[in-house]
Amino acid sequence: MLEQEYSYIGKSLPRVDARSKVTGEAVFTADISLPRMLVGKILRSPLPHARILNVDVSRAKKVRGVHAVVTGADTAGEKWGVFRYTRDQQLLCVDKVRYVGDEVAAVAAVDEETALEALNLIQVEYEELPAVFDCHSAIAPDAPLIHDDWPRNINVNVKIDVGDVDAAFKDCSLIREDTFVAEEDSYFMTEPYAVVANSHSDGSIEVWMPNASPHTKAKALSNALKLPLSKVNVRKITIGGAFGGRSDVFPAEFITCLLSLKSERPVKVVYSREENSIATRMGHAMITTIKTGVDREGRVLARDIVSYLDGGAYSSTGPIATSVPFLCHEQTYRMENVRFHGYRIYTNKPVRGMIRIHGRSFACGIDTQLDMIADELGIDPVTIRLRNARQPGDTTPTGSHVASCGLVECIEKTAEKSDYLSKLKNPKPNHGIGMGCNSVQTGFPLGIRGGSQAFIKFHEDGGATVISGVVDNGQGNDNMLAQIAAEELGLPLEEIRLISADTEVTPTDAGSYSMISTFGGGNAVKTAACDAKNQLFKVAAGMLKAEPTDLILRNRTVYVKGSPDKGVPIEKVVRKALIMGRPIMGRGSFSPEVDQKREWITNPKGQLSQTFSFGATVTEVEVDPETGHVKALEVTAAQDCGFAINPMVVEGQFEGGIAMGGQGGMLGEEHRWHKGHLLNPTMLEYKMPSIKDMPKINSIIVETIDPGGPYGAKEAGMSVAMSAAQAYCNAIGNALGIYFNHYPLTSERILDAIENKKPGIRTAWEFEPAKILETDSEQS
Amino acid sequence: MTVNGDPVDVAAPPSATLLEVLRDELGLYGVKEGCSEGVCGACTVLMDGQPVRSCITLALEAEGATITTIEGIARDGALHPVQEAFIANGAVQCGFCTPGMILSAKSLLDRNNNPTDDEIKTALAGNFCRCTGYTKILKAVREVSGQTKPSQTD
Amino acid sequence: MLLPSFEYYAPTSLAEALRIKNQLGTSAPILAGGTDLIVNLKHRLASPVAVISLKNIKEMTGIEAKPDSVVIKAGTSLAQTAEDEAVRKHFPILVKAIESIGATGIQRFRGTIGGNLCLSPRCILYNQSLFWRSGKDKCHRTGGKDCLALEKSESCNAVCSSDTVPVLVALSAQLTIAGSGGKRSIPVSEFFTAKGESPFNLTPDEIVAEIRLPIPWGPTSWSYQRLSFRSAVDFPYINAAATAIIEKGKVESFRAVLSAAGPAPIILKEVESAIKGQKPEPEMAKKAGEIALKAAEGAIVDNALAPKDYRIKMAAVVAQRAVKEALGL
Repeated sequence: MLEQEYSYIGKSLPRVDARSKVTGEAVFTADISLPRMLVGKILRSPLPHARILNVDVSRAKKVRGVHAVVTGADTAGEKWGVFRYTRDQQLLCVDKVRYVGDEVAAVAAVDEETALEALNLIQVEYEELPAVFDCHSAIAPDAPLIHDDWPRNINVNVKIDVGDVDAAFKDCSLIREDTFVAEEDSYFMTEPYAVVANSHSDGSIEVWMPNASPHTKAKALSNALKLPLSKVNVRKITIGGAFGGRSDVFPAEFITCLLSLKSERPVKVVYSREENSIATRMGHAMITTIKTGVDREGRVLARDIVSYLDGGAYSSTGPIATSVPFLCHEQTYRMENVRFHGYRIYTNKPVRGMIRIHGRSFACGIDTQLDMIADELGIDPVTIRLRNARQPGDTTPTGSHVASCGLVECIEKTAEKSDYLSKLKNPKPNHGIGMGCNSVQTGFPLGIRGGSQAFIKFHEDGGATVISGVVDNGQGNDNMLAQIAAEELGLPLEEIRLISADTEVTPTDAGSYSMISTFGGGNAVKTAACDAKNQLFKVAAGMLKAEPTDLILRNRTVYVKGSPDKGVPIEKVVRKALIMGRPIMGRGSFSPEVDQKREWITNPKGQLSQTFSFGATVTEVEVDPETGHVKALEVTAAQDCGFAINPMVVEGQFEGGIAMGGQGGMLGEEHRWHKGHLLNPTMLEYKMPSIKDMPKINSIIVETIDPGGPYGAKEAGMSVAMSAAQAYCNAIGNALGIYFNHYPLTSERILDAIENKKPGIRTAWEFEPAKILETDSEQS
Repeated sequence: MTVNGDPVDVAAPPSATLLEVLRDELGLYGVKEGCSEGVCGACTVLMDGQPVRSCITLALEAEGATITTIEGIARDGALHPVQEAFIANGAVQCGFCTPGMILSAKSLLDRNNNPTDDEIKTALAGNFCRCTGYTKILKAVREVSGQTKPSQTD
Repeated sequence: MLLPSFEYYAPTSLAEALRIKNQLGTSAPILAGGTDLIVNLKHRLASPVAVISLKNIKEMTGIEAKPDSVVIKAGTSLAQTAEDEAVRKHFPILVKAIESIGATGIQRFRGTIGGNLCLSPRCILYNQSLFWRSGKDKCHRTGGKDCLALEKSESCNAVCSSDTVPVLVALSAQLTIAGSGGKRSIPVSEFFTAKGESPFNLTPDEIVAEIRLPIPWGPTSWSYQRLSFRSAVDFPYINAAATAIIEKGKVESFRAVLSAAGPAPIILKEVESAIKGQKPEPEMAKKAGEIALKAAEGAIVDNALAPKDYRIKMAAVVAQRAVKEALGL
């Protein structure tokens, strides 16, 4: 169907959930109020590494108004992990605490004051242990072991080796090796984490919490609580952002459920901003050493990359988080011979997870090094990227076929819109322009939970309800489903109701964290809607005395092609179907065509994702050489998102991504520490941007119409954040003639680089490189 | 105090914040707690027409004052022009910062119905948004300016 | 986050407030806008018995333009101060400083000029939650005897993070302080002790009542420079203010103040004496930078997110820029 024929698809319609949000009606987890609800509070370790010798809750239990107290002793002490081979976390600590904030005990009481009073009466005896706070220290021979089963504190080891890297290096006319370091970044979604758990007398428990997949959370809770999955009902709730930081199960929900089960009352736990920062997830700090060899024209022939990721105290989605930074770049740029060793290393710091700007040091490293190589060869940054850009029909090094790719178009369009080459040739003093390229998966192999399913039911008056497992973190997934359903069912947007993200009622879905909501969830709804439509047509065919294949469904009417005024209203068809005993019940599913045998550690090859999105971002900056302050002037982002189901929503993702990955991420966002204590847990000292900091943004949507995506759509949520970081980095570098390799580029780092600028094409600073480590060859 | 036009009489201890009273006593959950330390702006309400951070304002300080929360700016079932503009321009994503952001914008427009971009940014600088990058928020407020007359002090 | 329990007084006169203050002393802080106090209470950095609200004390707000000065009551909101005709006319530097404070669209309605003057000095190892500090040793301000940022330091080195303080000093403001024994008047420069644990020269029974700004006797040029990470909701990690009266090409009067370094603003006396009586020269700005650098080295410790060495370097930059701009160069 051509674009012009769509009623809703491809249009910048206001989102269906916007109204309830502007009125304050939308209910977030902390807004839930249930009868007899108790307040839960969690006691956390004040030490980064210690043995728990004793936990005495006797005095806490005696406080009037306290209805439940739980500690590790109330659990089986089992270790949980996202993967079978990463089971390292007791959701309530039993023997050890491993970071400042680790959960030790919890209380549910009639109000917050009582809960805090009881918490203060819990006495914990710790035996402090030596702690490590960075990768190099953690893998040193004398480092304290954080987990007994993980020698040398190496949590995850991803090894990818494609082609013949060593031989290919021999053919290179230029080889560079540089090390790039990034500090931790974090999500800082405006909604602090919260959980409400309500246990029932039938043995079931309802849970509300911000999440990136209710089904993933439910399954993990079912395992941890030893309840059948059908009795763990994670409910739909308005979510205030996730950005990758709310994917896997947290102690918070486990503890809240325990408290509710024990007290037999609903329990609400609301995190402070500090708890949201330290006790959910944050991004990985990374050290990445990249060795790249090119031919005379700058085409990459070989790459050898080693990355250390500071994983914090527990695994979380370790294997994924360790792999994705590499995978994004093997997609973006062609590299036939490539080796990657990714080591996720435990430290005594809060747990790290996946984050929208996956692996700053990796991303910026690859792109900045490309600029350095271009410089050495006398090529401009646009040309070298065009020469190495992924092309449609390619296969990535680890074996993914690239079905659609508009990277070249994105590079060309951003370069043109920003007048890149002419600005490069005629630079203004202290002004710079830089480019970054990205590619992001749309869903990866997730085993039994890798697909999405949907149902559609009709109301007697012709309206429809869509039932889908897709979760909306705020990016507009609910609206996307409604737009698709409205298009296929010929109904106005207001007549589409949505039941989603409720594990009792809705079928499974892969979750929003693998960027698959539109590709997978949207496809499932589209399939279900088409199924419903076909059923409608079969019935309407009889009413209109026509063939089902000649029928169109539009504007609440089924009609024969070419005769819209001779149709039958949809509610008549629905009712006819009911009378006939053949009610319209739409069903559909979508499982992405990925290699289900692909595994992050044991078998990192095969089709990773059915398709990929691609893009380029260009940033222009002005630097104050006296202070190192950067003013971002203008950002131009082009993203091949396949097809924009709602261009206004897609632009919103670009703009948010630029703020998070570029303006904030590259200029000021980092966590700083004092002996394992986080110095900046709140927005005051974690420098996420305010409205005053934002530059002008130009968004260019590139549409390659992917063969597998719904209407050709792929993804748009994660990508621009990544390339924005790269673009900011390269722009600042261009302004100063310096190649930066320590992120974020705070003013003092920039000033330091200016003051210590050395001649030659080199990174601003020297760092101890990440080296290949001797480990056990396979994880169990 | 008066909250969204209704007279309210609540007993609150000295240490109760305005945020706590609005949410827990009056059920106005549109007032959000994002950081509890007066930084993020999610808790913004209007006190005698001026934006204040309710999480660090004692309830007793609001005695006798006229408070407006997000629940109070629609009139007779019709949304306020700022609310409409936010919907129409895609200025709402997750929605958590939205109530505070809209109230700050409304307060600006009540005082200055034709602000420059700089004035809009200065007025909204205390409301953090993580989702939108602020671009469409700015667009929405620009669209409304010049179209509203300063409303009654509320 | 819950506040601790305390009593709340909302007296209707300054005399009444002073009576309560006299009884309770430092355990009854003044609640003006509360944008600093309430946050600190949430962090349990103080556990007062009571707060004394200025809400109903009409005599604590207001601005009076006199022939030779503008008198601002300490409880006047930053918004009212910045919008006042006389303040805008005679002290645009103060307006600029106010416009830099905090959440620029929200701060100045609750925040007061007295509150910003008496902003509790800040330290990244101190301004943290109770939980955070429970895993750390105590410091001068939390019941201990050392400074977590600078070992063996005899007093607290927290940062005077106010935007208006260096400006008030540069404007030679006079403070009227009310106490049980009556009123006293001191130059604002004498208000600061340079000790973070007790940063102000106030006895437990005293309240800052008003700020008097002498109207400059000649045409003033000025500069307020501040640096922070982002454009709003960010305390300065260094700032400087300079004011000059230049007549017939000669600098008749000059003030230069460096602040957001240690607990007290630093008057750059050397800079002032080098410039006063002279013709403005670019070299003066550079020299001012060098002097500020030395002053900063003696005052700045590693207690902010911005590293110490960087802040020291920036002290030179802001001082240089402030002097340059104030001299019209």
